[in-house]
Amino acid sequence: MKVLVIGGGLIGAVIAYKLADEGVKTTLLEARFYTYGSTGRSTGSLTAQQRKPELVREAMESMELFQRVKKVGCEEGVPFACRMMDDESPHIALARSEEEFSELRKLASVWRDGGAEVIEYKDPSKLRDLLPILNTSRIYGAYVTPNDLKAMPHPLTWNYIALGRLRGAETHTKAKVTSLRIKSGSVEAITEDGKNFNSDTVVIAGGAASLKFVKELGDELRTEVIPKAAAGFVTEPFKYKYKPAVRVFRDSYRFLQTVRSEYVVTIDDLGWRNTELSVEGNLDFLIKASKITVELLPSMEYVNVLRAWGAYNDFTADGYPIIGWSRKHNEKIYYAFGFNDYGLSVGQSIAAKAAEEMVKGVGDPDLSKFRP
Amino acid sequence: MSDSKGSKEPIIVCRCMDVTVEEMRKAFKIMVKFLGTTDVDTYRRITSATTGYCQGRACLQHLQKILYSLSKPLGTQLSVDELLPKRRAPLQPTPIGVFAKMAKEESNE
Repeated sequence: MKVLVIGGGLIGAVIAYKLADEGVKTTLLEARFYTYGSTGRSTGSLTAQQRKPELVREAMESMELFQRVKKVGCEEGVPFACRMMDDESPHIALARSEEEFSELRKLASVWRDGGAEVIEYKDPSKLRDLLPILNTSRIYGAYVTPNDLKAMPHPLTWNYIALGRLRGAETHTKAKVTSLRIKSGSVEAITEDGKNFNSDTVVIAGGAASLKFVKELGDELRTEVIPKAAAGFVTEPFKYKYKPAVRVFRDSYRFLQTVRSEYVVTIDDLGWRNTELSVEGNLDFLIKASKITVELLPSMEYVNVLRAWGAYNDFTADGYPIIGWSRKHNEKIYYAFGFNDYGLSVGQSIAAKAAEEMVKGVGDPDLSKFRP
Repeated sequence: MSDSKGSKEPIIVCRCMDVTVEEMRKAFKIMVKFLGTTDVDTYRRITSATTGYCQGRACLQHLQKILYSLSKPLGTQLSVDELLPKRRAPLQPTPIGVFAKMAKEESNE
């Protein structure tokens, strides 16, 4: 079997690594550079705080897998693995009103159903034990998942790329696939610079960019995929180190301090559909995100924003990702995208299972809800 | 910069993130060996040069020069696009409070 993986984000990297590990002849093509797209623009949180119990399970398995693969990388001398820059990070989901708190209570029960440990904070002042800079006067209550992690998305992805390459996977950056041709015994991918790549199977793991291939192939999907604008900013490093991450579900807001000590704030869904990312949009995001940040963490007021960015997250209408063989081109095209705002949390485990079912030829029941 | 090999004094390339020429050389080797790429974006992220307070205003050119001189023997081409500085908002470091204040002004209007 010969497989071509399109996409050098976390999902593509994990699939390429797993396939190469199983002895499959694998080639990975990335249009720009590794982690370009939503992987590199995420906060880097690995959390069990997911909206569906299946995804909570995948998130928890991803955290286990992460630790295992980190060890493998370290043992094989991959420099990114031992300097993976990861840490424990309890995730605090905040509610600012009674109504928001009862919404959160329902979500927290999903996390518990999925097997995560969840702690309820009815007295918000207790949250200061976890995060002393939190202004609890505006907070009604919170739910905390204490066993979550945070990691820098780049070394995390590079580790998988490096391990894949050590197992014989071929990788190309600046290799943008412009068209796919289905032939009787193979699939041909043509890149922007005119190179042809023939393979038995093509895996499409290009995040929001995957949609153009679905359209080109004339495929139908289970659910609508809606690319939505997301944005984030990073501040200068700050000498005090805080482990916890903060989430406000209602505003798709995330805050955490990276292991490099800078603060990252993202809004995973700005509520803009099919918009072009613009300078004005960037300023709107900065205003919105800064307002929430200063309300919750007043001492952040004087911390400098160094850089802001925008990204497209590939949201699905039903909230599940799209994983599996194409309906029209079974055994030739495999989809692995549609990871909403949770790709970094659940992606490793789902991508690993996807690669395994491709090799074994037997569908994984864990992925049954995610079929295209 | 190219004569730093014999020098015992470290030569700092990125002053914000304290990255030396030696570290830049080492990171280049790692990048080519483990990731098989020489692109400027990955290089910035691996070395963490250009990601500090000045956002590369002081060191981007040095980074590009080093990258160019190291990748030339490998025969890889760097496009002009890669060598142009990328500017992202905000154009200079701006306190979070400044943006938060703008939110208050908007809601008062």
